[in-house]
Amino acid sequence: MPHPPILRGIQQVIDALKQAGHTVVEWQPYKHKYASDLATKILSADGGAAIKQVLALNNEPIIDNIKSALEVDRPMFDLVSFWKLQNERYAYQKEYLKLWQQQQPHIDGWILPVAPHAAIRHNQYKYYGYSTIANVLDWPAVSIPVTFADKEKDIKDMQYQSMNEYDAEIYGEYDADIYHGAPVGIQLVGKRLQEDYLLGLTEQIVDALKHST
Amino acid sequence: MIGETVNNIIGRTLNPYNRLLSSGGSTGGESALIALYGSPLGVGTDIGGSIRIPAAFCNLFGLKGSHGRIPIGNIRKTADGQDIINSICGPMAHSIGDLVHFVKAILQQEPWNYDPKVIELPWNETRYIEGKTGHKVFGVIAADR
Repeated sequence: MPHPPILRGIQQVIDALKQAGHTVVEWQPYKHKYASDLATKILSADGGAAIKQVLALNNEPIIDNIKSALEVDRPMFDLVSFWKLQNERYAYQKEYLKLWQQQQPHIDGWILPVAPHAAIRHNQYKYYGYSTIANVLDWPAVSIPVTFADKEKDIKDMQYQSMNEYDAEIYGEYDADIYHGAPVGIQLVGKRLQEDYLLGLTEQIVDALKHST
Repeated sequence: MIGETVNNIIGRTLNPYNRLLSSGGSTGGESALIALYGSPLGVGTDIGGSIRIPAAFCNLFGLKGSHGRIPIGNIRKTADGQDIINSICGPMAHSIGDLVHFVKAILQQEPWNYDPKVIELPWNETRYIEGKTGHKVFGVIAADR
């Protein structure tokens, strides 16, 4: 579950869009954790060999953030398994496109957090699913600044029932005092190669936010 | 490739709005610089959020396009040759107008004549105006599950 500042940012965008006369509908995330795991496998398919090769040039140690983001110690994929992995990704892209095409009413673009948190406390970045989804799908996405974390408004939900340990760990990281003042951004995702249309849509969100009360 | 900016040589890049926090990553040096008005616009690369995360963390706009729209030029990136999930080049700036300006300017140079991975698809002003006008339908995901 995103931290309170992100949920408030999303709500602010929803309210502004509705006020400007746009339609806002709920969009169900389709296997985003699966997509995120797929991305990690593809980016770690060489078992970290490319990164290690560069680091070996002057015996530079690997930084912790890379260790936690990639599976740098996994065995390298063999080519047949890797082709299978590429095909899994293509199948996922097709399924997601079909879902979008079937959606009624037709959706022009969809909004989601960029990350489960505002600007993160050092060494605490854990879940990349919200941003990686646009890379796995190869759909264009724009980050849009919305507001700033506010310790008076963004109160931690002490009763929050987490989905699993991972989710509990990410939600548990929120501290209203530390995050006070952190920029809150959201993103808008569009269709492949429709950057022109997506940038136009983004201007509508910017205008809606500017004129919302 | 990671959501923070830290390395063994110059250490960690802090968030200009709150030094307890990260400027985001991996293009977090650029985002901090733009946020501090040290640069009007910067270019990042995004393979899992590395333009959009630092932009969001520094109160900026950032665009990750589709593969094949904006050329990556000779920018050095992680795992060259991994052509499945591609590293995408794109702008970060203070306003959406700046991003539009950047994309138009790049496409006006007809990058498909120089980079075989770029699709011949000029800036489409009609589609841009279609996006910019009229009432639209937006889908919203507040939380992954």
